[in-house]
Amino acid sequence: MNETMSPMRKTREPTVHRAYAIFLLCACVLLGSCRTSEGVFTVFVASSMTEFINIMLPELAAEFPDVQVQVNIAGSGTLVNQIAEGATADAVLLAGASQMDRLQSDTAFQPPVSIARNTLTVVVSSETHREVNTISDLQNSGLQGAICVRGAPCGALALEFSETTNLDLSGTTREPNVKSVLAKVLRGEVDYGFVYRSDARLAASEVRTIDLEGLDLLTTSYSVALANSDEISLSFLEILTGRKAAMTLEDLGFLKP
Amino acid sequence: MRTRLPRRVRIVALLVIALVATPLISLLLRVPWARIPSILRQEFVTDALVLSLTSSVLAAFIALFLGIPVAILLSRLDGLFASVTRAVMMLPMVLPPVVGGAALLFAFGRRGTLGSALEDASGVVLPYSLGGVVLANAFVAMPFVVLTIEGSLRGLDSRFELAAASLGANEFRTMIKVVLPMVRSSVIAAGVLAWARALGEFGATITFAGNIPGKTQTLPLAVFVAMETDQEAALAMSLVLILVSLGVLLTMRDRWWPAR
Repeated sequence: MNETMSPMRKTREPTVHRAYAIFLLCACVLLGSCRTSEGVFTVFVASSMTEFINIMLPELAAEFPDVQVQVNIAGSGTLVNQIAEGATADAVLLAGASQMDRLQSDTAFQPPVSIARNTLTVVVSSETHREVNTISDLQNSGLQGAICVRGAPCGALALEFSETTNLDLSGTTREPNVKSVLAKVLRGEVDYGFVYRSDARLAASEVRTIDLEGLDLLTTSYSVALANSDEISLSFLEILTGRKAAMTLEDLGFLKP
Repeated sequence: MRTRLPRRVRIVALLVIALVATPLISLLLRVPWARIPSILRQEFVTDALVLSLTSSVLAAFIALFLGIPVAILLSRLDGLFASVTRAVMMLPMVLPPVVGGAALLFAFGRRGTLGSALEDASGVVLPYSLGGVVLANAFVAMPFVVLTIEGSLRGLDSRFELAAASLGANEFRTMIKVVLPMVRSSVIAAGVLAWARALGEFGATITFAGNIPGKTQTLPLAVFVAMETDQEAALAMSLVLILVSLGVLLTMRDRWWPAR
């Protein structure tokens, strides 16, 4: 028995050791990649601010050429959840006061600075077979609409609008963020969607817009908060509150804070 | 008789088991046990629960009904054609479900290759409807049916079939009365697997059928939404999904791991 076993052990052991070595190597690489690395500035950004941040980031890159900027874009509710569960961000740009409040109470971020406001509007797909000209037309049966999930400020606003005007939005599909509502309208998968005025303006050539009348009061505010006050964080804040930022925001269809 | 289990195998295995169990136990630690009854009575939760059960059961039956003929065909084929067909049939199992959902949209969506014709002909629009949820669920669940049933059909002794045929049964009757009953237990296993896969389906559903509370918002989708607004509700619904899945695995244990 032993005689037959020993040659086998000799051939097997190195293979097992090699497998262990490969496993350990993978584990090290994996753990190493989880650590926050130096020289990276991470910004969490609400979906509706995608275009704005893409325009503004080169300014930061010009001031700090050695720093790599990472951007994480999602619905504001998702972003706050990610941070509450341990994701590290150097700065956040959120939509909605309630999500910012949640961030402030759950984490050690500095007090927020408000940079803009936005209001909702309805975009109608060019593919729709029906007449949709006014808000009350949305009530027609056979129309499929989309709004954001309640956790995203665009969804909270749409539901608030629905409550104040008795517009039935119960049959609408709830998308994780405003960009996916807009994408569904653009692809013609849904007939209409509640998106921000700024998003509607971006897609103005491809969709029709119905303005929500008398509802200027329903707005969401955007604010920036920093995790710490190092040099790069402060200049990031300076850039986002500066003149160029204000002009860019206005061009994109945002309202003044 | 077996040789003694090597100690390091035992240690590594126990460590890995602990590692897999930790996230699940951590979830259980956060479940708001006292509030569970009131959470599960909330309308969006009961809606999601009923919808999940209905759509997953329907999807499992559809996957079985459509998957069995494919399994039979593949069990009789060999060569390149069979390999390619099998790979295509297995794709929904390995693809990211979102990709599956997007593919369904391009086929059955309003502007899809089949969807637009379907809408013109019958007025039926599959996305954003219960039908859409069932279709998405059946799409991802069917590979489990094909895989499970084809495997046991290949292991069958063909003499029974030949005997039935020699006694005058036609091919279809042989299939229904002789072959399928012989693989009965794997048909049941396939159905249960398909059902479990459909119950947990998320990506294809939200992409193809949307997320309409009370209409297409299944339990996994409701968990996803609640994570941002009502984490306790998300945990309670997760608990339901964990218990159901665990129940399925335990009832099927004899089939997959026969006692020695």
